Amino acid sequence: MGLALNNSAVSPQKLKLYYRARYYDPLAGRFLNEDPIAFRGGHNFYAYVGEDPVDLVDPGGNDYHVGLNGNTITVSATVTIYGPSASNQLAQSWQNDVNRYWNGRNFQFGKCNVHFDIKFFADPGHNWRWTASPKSDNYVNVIPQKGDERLLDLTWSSYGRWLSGLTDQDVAHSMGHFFHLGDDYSLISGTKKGHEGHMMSNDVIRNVAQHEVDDIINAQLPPGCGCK
Amino acid sequence: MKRKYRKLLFWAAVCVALAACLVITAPAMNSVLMARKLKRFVKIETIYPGCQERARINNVSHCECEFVFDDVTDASTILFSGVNLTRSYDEERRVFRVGGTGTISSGKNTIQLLVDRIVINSIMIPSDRPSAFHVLIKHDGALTNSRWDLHW
Repeated sequence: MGLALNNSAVSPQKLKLYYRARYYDPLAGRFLNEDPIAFRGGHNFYAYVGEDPVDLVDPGGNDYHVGLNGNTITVSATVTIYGPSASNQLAQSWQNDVNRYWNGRNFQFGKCNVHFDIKFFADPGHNWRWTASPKSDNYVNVIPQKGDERLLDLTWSSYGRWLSGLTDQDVAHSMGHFFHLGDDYSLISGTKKGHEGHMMSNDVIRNVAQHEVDDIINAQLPPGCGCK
Repeated sequence: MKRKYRKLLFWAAVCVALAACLVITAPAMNSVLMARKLKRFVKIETIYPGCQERARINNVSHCECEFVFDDVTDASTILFSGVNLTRSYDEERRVFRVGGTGTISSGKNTIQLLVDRIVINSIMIPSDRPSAFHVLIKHDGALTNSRWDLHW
């Protein structure tokens, strides 16, 4: 594994590279602390994309990446949708949805500006996330919408099973799960108090709230970030 | 003593396994129960006045709105008013297909269908949205999504 990996900062104390979420020890040839996504990263928590960094790019060690440039924070993530019901048309439609709620909006994190850069790709030719291309941070198996299905989607870490008939806000909400945001509601009691209208609520009219942006960035806060 | 310790360990393991099962299956069980509950309620479908035609995928058009009054299982308790309001009822699906302008009400909850927008309990549905709404109108007037997602 080469050390000329992108977006890492050298710790002055030792030759360990802070690789956003983890330290990489070049002598040991592995990350020193566990992948914060633990089981979601695979069985060997110290591994880096299955020991195959050439084909499986996971530049941040997470399902999304936080980069700092001057006073601008960029949160980026890629999603490949796959399966026979996936199409370029659907990818474009879902791209428009995340543009509307995430990419196209200006957020703040303390003194810094925050920009989201989420990209959708489609691979209708493959049925497995392992064979789907291009390689992305997250994968969605598209299930055709049949009639009156209430359960829109399942999202488990960087893997999703989404119905093709998601509305724009449902796409934006589900994208929040790829940023490791949990639901602000339960099916029984509804939206949590104080979270009404937030993206991760179950309300009809939802928008990304400041605390959701904070949670996303704080989880992968670059060291030395002087935004706060 | 050793046997007692083993027994304790066994039951502790059983408890942990049961708790894990509960955590994993509870959201799915909840959603199944909620889906069954919602299936009994009468639904109202209309074309959303402000929506743009969204990508047609698998011949499903998503440019519709669905409203469900919480706990309303009797279609006759839903009131319709308005000269231009048209409706038809599909008993099998328990769905009213509604068109035109007018007011639909159940108890204190009202849906106003206007030419260019829909207002539910004084809350205007944004007119720039490109896709469908699925609205569950609760007894207290709160609007929630009648469809949901699960995540772990």
